[in-house]
Amino acid sequence: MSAFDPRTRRLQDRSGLPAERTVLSWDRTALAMLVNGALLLLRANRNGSLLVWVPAGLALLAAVACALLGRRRHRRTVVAGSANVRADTVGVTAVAGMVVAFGVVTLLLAVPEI
Amino acid sequence: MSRTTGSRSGDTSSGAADEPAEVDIEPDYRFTLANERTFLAWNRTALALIAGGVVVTGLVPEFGPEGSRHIVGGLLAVLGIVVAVMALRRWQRVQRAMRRDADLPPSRLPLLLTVGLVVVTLAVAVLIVVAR
Repeated sequence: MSAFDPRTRRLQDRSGLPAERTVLSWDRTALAMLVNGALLLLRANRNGSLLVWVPAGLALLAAVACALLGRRRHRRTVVAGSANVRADTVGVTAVAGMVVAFGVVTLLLAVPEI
Repeated sequence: MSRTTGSRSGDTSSGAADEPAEVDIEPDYRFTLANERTFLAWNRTALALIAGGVVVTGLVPEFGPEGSRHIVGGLLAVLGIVVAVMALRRWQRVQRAMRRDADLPPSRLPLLLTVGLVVVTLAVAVLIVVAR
């Protein structure tokens, strides 16, 4: 059952605005990951270490993954309707895992000679 | 299909409203989404700390004794990791509490962040003074 009625072009329930705020929140998080990736690229460019290019590339992938997770979340929220919204355990755990991975990479970069 | 939404906010007939529910019931979707947004906001805070760590370790000139940048960058990265892990735990605990209609658990995250930032700031100040 879709919450969107194509005849009236309206949402049949009121899940729209909170769902919209949530997907924007996912997008801002993806942007924050993108900034981290860009900083890692800058750093790779500066000291030329090949090791830094790998996490920089992974960071960009993580940003895309985060944005896609947000899209999936939004789609499921709107399609399921507000009565059937469940906690997004997979998406939330994935984001926390990616952020921790960013932190570990940065911690490794803090060790001199890397 | 089980009844989920609207049962909390609209139900005023229960005489034992303060008692935690025996069974887990999905809370109103707005609370689920608000919990998710709060989790994401904490993770952006963690990412900002980690970004600060990347900048300090590799993109700014040395500002203190040899190795200062690595200490400060490492501190920021550790703080970011701790915030991200605690945000995940917080999200889980809040979601569980809402499902059981219980009070929300207290959070140590704001205190941790404040103490962490004060420590990092003092560390930078001391390192700059020592280098003079």
